[in-house]
Amino acid sequence: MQYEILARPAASAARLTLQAGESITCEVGAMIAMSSGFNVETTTRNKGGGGGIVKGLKRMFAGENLFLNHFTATQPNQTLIIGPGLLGDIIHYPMRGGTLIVQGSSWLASATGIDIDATWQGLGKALFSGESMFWVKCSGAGDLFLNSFGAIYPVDVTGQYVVDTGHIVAFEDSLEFRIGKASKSLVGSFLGGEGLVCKFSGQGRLYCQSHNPPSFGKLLGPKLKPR
Amino acid sequence: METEIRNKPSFANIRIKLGPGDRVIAEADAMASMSSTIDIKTMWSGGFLRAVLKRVFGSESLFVNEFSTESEGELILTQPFPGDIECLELKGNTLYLQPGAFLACEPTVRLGVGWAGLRMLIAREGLFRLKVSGTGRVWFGAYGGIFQREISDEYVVDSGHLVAYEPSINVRIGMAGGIFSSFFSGEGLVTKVTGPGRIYMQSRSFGGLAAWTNSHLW
Amino acid sequence: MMGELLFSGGVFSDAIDGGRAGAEIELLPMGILARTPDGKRFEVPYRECQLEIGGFSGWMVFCRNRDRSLTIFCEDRKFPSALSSASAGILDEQLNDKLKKQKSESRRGSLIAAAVLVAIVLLVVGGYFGVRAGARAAVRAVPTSVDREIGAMAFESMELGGPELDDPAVAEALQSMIDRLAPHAALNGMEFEVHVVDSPMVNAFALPGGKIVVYTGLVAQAAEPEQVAGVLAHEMAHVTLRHGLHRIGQALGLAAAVNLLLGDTGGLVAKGSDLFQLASINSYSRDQENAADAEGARMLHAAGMDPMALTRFLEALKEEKGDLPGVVSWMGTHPRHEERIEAIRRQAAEWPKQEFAKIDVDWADIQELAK
Repeated sequence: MQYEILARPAASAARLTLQAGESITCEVGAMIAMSSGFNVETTTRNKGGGGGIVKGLKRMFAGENLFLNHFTATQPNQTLIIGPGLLGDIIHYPMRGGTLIVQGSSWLASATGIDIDATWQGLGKALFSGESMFWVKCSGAGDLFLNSFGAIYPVDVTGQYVVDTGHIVAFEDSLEFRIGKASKSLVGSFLGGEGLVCKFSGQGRLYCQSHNPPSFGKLLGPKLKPR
Repeated sequence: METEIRNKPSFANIRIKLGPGDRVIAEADAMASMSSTIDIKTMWSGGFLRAVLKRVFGSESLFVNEFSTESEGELILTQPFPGDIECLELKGNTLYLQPGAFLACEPTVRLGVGWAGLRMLIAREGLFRLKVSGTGRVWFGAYGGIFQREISDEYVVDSGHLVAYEPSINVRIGMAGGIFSSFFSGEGLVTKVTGPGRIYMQSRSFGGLAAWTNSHLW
Repeated sequence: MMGELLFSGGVFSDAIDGGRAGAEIELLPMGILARTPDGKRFEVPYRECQLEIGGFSGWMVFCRNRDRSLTIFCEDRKFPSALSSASAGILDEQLNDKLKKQKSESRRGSLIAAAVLVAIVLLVVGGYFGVRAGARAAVRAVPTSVDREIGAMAFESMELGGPELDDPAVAEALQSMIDRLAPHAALNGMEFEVHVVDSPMVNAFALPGGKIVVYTGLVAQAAEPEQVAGVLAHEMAHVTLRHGLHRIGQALGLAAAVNLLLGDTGGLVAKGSDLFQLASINSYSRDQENAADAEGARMLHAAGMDPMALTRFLEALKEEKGDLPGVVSWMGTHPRHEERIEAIRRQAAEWPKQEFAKIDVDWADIQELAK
């Protein structure tokens, strides 16, 4: 499979070229356009993998759709264009057997060799991170596509790094993740608007997004007419 | 202190490398991520009374955060909406920022809040505005692209598009055309600015986004 | 006498990187000197100085040199008089001229601002009353088919708060009362149709066009069928008096006026489509409630039913209200029942005495079905 990311970074879309027999699993609604030689299948499970309805339900709570779309090319050189609903960037992450934890709404598509599981990160962490109660755990090998609100920037963490909860896109599971207060005093953390933040420690790569969907929503929400 | 505005112009964010003794002040909630070696101190923005005024009338946060470090670290600051960020070096001069535009500054910059007057309220620009003065760098952001213009004569800006202006700029409210075309063309009231001085404008307005979204909700 | 000679202000000059800087301004015997924080000095001799007054505050004094490449500015209110005395009168003519102009302009500015404010207030207040009157006239011109369409649309999109009752017997009994009342309606073209919703709420409401929704709670609460007929007549009166349309007209009109004032025509369309989703259509004004009472009572009397049954229902509700907090919605939207009871009683007293025929339904049966 070959890929190219178009219209970066404001309105990115990924153009994938698949050969006969190759397939990719996408978030429902991610398909923008495709050539005619695709077989599309909608299931609650990974292609050829286990999980089924339970994993599907977990994904639903993770902010993802219950269903997944599998696109399998039946002819050579088929192109598929996918993109997220939000304005923002897309990145390609080649998985080589490790595990990447992806924030609920940032998972866009993955090759069939990747197992997708919505993992529960523990009550305290989920409650205070606020942004997304669940995280999608991707493991295996193959191509993985992630999307973001705003630009994506990678951070290679060695030691400790602090991220505001709305800005996390994904992180390698070699990183330990803990909720903490932003400044030394708890009162200051809240008054200063930073509230609780995620603290990563260990060694590994972390992907952050430049913009924060809840902050944007907080600004726009009051200006919208009531429904 | 090394700074860089990245991902211009659609998703601009500021990356700051702090060394020992460096300090930077940022609007509450501006921090996206940072090294754990950086300390945050929360303070009233421009004193208690001014902070309260700013919160109530300028719809800005009561507090600002001061970031510093004893060793070194990296700090990413951003704004809530997608758009551009501009950096300006003050040399003893003053700049007025519209509510919501201020992002960060060096500690040598004075932050204050000023009464913008009834005319700015009528222009839907807010009753209060932030006043930045002193010396040092100021970062401010906008929804959409930022463009600046040196004004010598009169210039017309649609309301909601003015981001910042110098005190030497006179601002008046006017109608875009006659009474009829002003009300029915969708331009409504406009802001007329007279120089000398510089203004900063944004290519989109947040009110415009809200109106567009509202008209497409179903 | 010399005044203060040091002020803070700023400089515009191409000799500065970025074109501007703040400055300390000193009035020297020969001219105006500005010193920027990084030590640069700029001077405009009084003889060359061209003055302008403006800036955001309207009181900033700009002193420019002959080719206008250098401008020193200061906002201090004491600066003009200090400048006048320091320059030994050289600049007085320019200064007085510009100050006078500025004063008259600022006076004119505040006059215009005051006039605009007054005009806005007048437009809003006048617009409100004008629109109310206009809406009344406009509603009369609207064909009744519009009422039915709006009613049908609102009914489709409404949260009723419960399922429709399965057994048609209750709806049939209520419909028979409506059919007796309908020939006496003041307006032809409405299609009265009752829907019974299974919910303990003591509530009933009408939609434009004639759809009337009655909750089983209200059926259970009424001691006799005449009381329900009274409620139905009141709701039918809202329909025939077209109160729903009046409210839409007023709300739309007001929104339209406000939108035009603010130059936001895009929002107008959104507001319009919004209003047709009306769940708020049941909240009628005090005048409309009184009118519906009077018209409802007239219809009851004309159909040979006891108009006092409505007052008995209101009284029963008043007594029961304490025991049924939050459930008696029909009262919630219909306040001031004592006044209303009195008004209906006064009206009924003026009509000729008449024997009222009992409504021929087995009320105990119907109430059992509505439980």
